[in-house]
Amino acid sequence: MLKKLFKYDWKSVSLLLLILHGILLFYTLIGRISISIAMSQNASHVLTEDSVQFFGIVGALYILGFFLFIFAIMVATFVYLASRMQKSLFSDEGYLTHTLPVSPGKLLFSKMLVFCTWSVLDILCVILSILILVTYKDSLLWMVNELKSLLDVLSGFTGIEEQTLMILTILDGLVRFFAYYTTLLFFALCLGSLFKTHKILGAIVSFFGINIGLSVVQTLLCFLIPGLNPFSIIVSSGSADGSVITQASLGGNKLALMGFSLAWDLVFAILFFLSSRYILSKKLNLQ
Amino acid sequence: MKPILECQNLTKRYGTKTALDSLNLSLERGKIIGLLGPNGSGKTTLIKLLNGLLTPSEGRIFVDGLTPGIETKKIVSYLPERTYLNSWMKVCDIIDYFRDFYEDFDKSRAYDMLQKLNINPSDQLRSMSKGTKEKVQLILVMSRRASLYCLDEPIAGVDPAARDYILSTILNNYDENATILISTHLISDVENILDDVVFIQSGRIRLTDSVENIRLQQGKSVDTLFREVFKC
Repeated sequence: MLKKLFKYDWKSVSLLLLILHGILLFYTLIGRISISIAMSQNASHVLTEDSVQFFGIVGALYILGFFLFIFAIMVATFVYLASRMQKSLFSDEGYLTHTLPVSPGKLLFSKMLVFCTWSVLDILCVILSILILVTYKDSLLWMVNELKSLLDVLSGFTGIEEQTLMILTILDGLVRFFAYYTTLLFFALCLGSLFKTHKILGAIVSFFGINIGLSVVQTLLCFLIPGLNPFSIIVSSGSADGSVITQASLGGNKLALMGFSLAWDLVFAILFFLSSRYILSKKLNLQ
Repeated sequence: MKPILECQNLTKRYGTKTALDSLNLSLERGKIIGLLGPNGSGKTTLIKLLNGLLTPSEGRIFVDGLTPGIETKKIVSYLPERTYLNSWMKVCDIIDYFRDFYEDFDKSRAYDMLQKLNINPSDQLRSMSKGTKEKVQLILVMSRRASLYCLDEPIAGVDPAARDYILSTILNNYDENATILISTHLISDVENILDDVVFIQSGRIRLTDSVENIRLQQGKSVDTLFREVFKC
């Protein structure tokens, strides 16, 4: 059933998103071709100062437009996916969705899977676009070197602590993006559905409210629990014989901090999923 | 045999408004039952509760002895009073969708009914009129071999000529052990196909009787009785 749900959820969102990301890649290719032409012109002709200025302005405008476009595509993808999921679960379409002989957990999981898959594709498209635009001989060398440094850290050549920290950082990033925020979004949509009126506004307020509230609590906990404090406090005091005694706090343990952040994100992702499933199975109210 | 639908002290409140008030009801199998009542009487709320789209405030509801869930959704075929299909889909896509999720869906029956109503399976829903969409929905719902069909206002949005076809579709496409629950206020159109009626008002049952009894004992049509009971 999950496979079937995924198939139809995927179909319902993919056409528009494919067109949107196709436009991004097309826009990037045009930019790349233009830059290549400009560079070959530059190499084969002696350009006047005015021409250099003109190409500079056009290039700067293109780059500005490119990054605005990338930002708009990422926001549009998120908003479109969120609104499709909201419609499928809580608008008129919900009358069909919730009368399918499928468990609420599977309904949610399928939609989350589509959401995450398209988020990955969105990021890959953006990375590919940027790479198409900026990959030249010099920049390629720089990118390869940076990638090598990252692989060195991941392989443990720079020490086990750095390796663990890097793995935890990457894991936390993935869990935060794909589990925490995705489940939070669906939980917010479910909470919004419980509002009598303004269900979409309720979902938006729930999403930002919970996110801000939990971020504040997480930050406070980091400061209150000594081992997690991101700052090292060094206390210096003078003694009778004139020597200085220095004592450092236990703060600044990056590994513990990252481990805590990972555990926090995982626990709340699970809580958000279970709570969303509970609302769909026990509190559903399609009025 | 277990009743196909049973409500025990079923209550549903929307905030301070009570839509269903300690409702007790039991429906037998193999009958076409009219759920009749004025606007806001609780008909749609009851149908939504039995489909698991709403959760009861108090009391219990059983479909084939089970609380609404995956198992009851396998045997209940529901036609809501609104368009619930994705407008980007073609009719043939929706037929595949129903076939994929409902084991009791009969694809050939659906195509047969589409042909009789001159609906092109390749047409997209967004290009269809409201009435045609309602016909497609009814075809989908009646193409299942369900134990309980819940039809919420099935003929309200279609022209009188199509009504006859829809009613004959309902009559010709249900198993004799299946139950059809039709919610409507177009009583004169449906009363000829009804076996029993349930009158509901302000979330409470006003009357439950067979159409035959109403005609023979009271000497009235259901439509006339309805007008008397719910006189404003």
